Amino acid sequence: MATRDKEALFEVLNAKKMSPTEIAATFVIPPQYDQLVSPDHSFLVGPRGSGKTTLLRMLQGEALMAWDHRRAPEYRRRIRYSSVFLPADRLWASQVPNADDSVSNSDLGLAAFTTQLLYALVEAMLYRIGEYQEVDSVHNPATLSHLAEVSLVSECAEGWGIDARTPSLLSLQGALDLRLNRLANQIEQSHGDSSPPDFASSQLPMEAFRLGIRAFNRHSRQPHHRWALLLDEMELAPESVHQSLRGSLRGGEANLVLKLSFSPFDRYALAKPEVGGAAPHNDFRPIYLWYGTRSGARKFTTGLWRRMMKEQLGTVRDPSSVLGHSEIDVSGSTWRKDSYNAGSKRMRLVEKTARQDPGFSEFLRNRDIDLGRVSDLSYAQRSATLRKVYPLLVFRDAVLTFEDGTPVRRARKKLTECFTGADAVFAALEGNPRWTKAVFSQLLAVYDGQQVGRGFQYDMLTDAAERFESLLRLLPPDGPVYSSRSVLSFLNDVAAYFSAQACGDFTADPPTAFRVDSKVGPEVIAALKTALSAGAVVHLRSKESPAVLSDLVGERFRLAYLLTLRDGFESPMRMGKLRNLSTIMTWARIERQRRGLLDADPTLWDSSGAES
Amino acid sequence: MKYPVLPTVFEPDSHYHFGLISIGFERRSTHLLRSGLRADDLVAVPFDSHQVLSYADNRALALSRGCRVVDIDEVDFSAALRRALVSSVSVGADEIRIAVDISSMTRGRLARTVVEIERLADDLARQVEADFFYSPASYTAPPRGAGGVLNAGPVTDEFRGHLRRTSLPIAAVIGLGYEPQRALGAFELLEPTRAWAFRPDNDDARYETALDDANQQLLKLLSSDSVLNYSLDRGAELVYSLDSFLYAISGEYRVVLIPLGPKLFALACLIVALDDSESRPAVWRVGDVAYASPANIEEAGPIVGTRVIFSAPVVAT
Repeated sequence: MATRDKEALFEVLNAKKMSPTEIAATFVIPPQYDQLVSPDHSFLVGPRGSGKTTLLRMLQGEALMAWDHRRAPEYRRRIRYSSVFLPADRLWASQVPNADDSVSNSDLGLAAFTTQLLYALVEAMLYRIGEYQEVDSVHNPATLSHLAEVSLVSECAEGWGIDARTPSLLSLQGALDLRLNRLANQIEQSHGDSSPPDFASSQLPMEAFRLGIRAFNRHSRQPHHRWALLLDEMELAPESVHQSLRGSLRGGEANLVLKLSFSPFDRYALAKPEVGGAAPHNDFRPIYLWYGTRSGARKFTTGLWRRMMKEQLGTVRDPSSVLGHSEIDVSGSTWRKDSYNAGSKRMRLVEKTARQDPGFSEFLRNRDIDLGRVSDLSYAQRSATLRKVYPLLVFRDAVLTFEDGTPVRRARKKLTECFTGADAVFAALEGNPRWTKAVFSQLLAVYDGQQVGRGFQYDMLTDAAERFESLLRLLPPDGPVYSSRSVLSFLNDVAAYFSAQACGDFTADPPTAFRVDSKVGPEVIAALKTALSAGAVVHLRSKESPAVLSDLVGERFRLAYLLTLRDGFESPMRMGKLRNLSTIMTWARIERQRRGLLDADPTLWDSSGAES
Repeated sequence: MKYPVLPTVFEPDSHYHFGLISIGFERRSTHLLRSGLRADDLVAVPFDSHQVLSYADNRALALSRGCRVVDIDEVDFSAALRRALVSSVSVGADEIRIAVDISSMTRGRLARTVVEIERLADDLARQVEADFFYSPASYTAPPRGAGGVLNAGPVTDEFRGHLRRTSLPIAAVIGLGYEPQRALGAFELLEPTRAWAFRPDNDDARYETALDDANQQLLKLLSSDSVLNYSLDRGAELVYSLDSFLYAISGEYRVVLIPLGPKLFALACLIVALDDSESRPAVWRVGDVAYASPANIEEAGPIVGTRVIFSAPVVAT
């Protein structure tokens, strides 16, 4: 049995940490990449771990040139612009002053952002003129004579208000480094002190950035060369940064495109034209990185599987041959005519359920289905009834037993039967690259030619769920209302509701999704926003949904499937009926009261969102 | 490191100008007092919430031993401590000696205490010799359940760390504790490029088991050479080890220290983070918004002393 190196397991999890070569080596092209490479402003919208950083970084010259793929030359030709990448992260967000701080401190935050932006621009300039010796070939190369570099540095230094000690780009970059350090000192000194800072840049970030690219284009004699600014995790940037980008999105120059990644909730209404934001499809192209349906994620996840298997094991096998088939397979590909024969595995479960479960028995009666004469049914009738309901029967059989016709949760559940196999594992991972890589790397590590054990598959999924839970406990609700319950607590209430519905009296279509209705209060909305950004709930877009959400009321969501396989919260990984969120919250309150949990946890969600 | 750190031993006869203890719900909070701590001005600061379990006994003991009990809102702790320090030690000896019992302090209170003592040395331009004493805890089972609200972020504004380029990767240095999901949650939240875990040695097998159970998922992600053990009976050594470790990684990474577990590790993190350089690490707190279930923790084992010699910066003339 192969063993997985722990360092390698750690390494697969986050694109931020990877070098351009590593990014390129593990890149699987998702359908969204084709949209992203176009020379338009783009909003790359997706929850945490959905691959935003990887996609942005695959627009950078270093990664494009390191990319060894049959389609790489085509993309290198299509991407005629030069990319400047600026990441953000939670540490940075905790250090940069935001709108809650004083105005002068907020200015310092914007100045720090501008300085980093210009530093990244100079880095891209250095790359393009071939300054980095470790780079073999350069995407969109440029040439600067010594005199041109001297003039460029002089213009930028003057325009940016910095002092480059020598007339070189490296010196210009050093001056920006020094400026960031001075700003950092000022920010620290200003904590808890309302006195005005002694240094703040009056530079607006986009104006300074444009000045830099115009100067570079002029001196490199490529006056029309286009640049792309790639800003990652915009939701972590202070409001002042968002404000500074509005003008650039709505107009700006032909030689600059913006590619912004952020979470599905647009806190600062950057994409809301009625309040001065940019207009979707007119000013920018929205690109979504999540999949409401299981089939949507399937193609990308399969591509990732093949890539990782080839890389780890040097061979490629079909996921079903490694993980086995899932009894919840919705494609129907594993159903054959003889699946309906009396005595087949599937019909045995159908017959057993009909004997035990009065609700299912009634369901059959209402549809005139006689299990002794299934062969008389047409293909369409069988598909619309038995095949459609079968995954739910598998789920209920795994979780429930029956006492005098009443469903009761099993003491020892058979969860490997409904949450393992290729289809179920792929569904649980939602096409989320971070979860998928983490789980696949471990599944492939134990693959020795024999099917990976069902118990191990389930353990890897629940490990991923536990890691996700630990994050959800720490993420604060995204809203002005202080909540005394965690985001995880809110999600558990929703998950418990769906689980109770799926495990109650039989219905062929138990609810698995919710609509945010107007009775939902601000605390619940705040928790939902955070859950959405984290990928714990999935937005089910409709034709009426705005390009980027800035209001949740009226929108439909479901829980991430990874949260529905946890012990006590099990529900089927399928699209079911909708419920109003306020109904779920009311149910949760009553259920907690019924279970006597009021004393242990007196702060409850109710339908108005207030604590009871 | 900015200030010299030495091991020290608690001796009841030692003379201090100022002593600081907390009055909390755990019996351990008065251990130093019961062991004979004395000072010219001995200040006891109660916590303003969860005044249960041993709180009343601790308060009564503090009063009976001549402590000045200062009741404040926790948000006013820094200002109250500053006033108390200045009124006690602004005149007198050239070298100021302070004793602090950190055992029952929250990480926030501990951070504010370290900052105020440093500020005192700066303001008075005198040397302050601060002895931080830690009484290891007896074993109590870790809290169960996951319903409460946790938060994570800089322990105080002073410990946000130096703002550096985001193109520099993040390294997390996590002190392991036995509360489930906390270290893992911090790891998931920060998404560090590298992580190291500092694991306290403990003779109590129950604690060891609880610690491993709580961190099982995180430890799966780390290679064995990324898990470093430390001893709870050598505070100064821990500070120097941590400082050397940071020196080795700070050029390459933006470092976040996350001191879960024993307060001794939190103290070490705060002391090394007083660094004035541009690689100064952040110190983050990960914890309950409020105590979920207070436990009456008692002391176990000998008191560990760590002396930090704060001195005013030398101003060039």
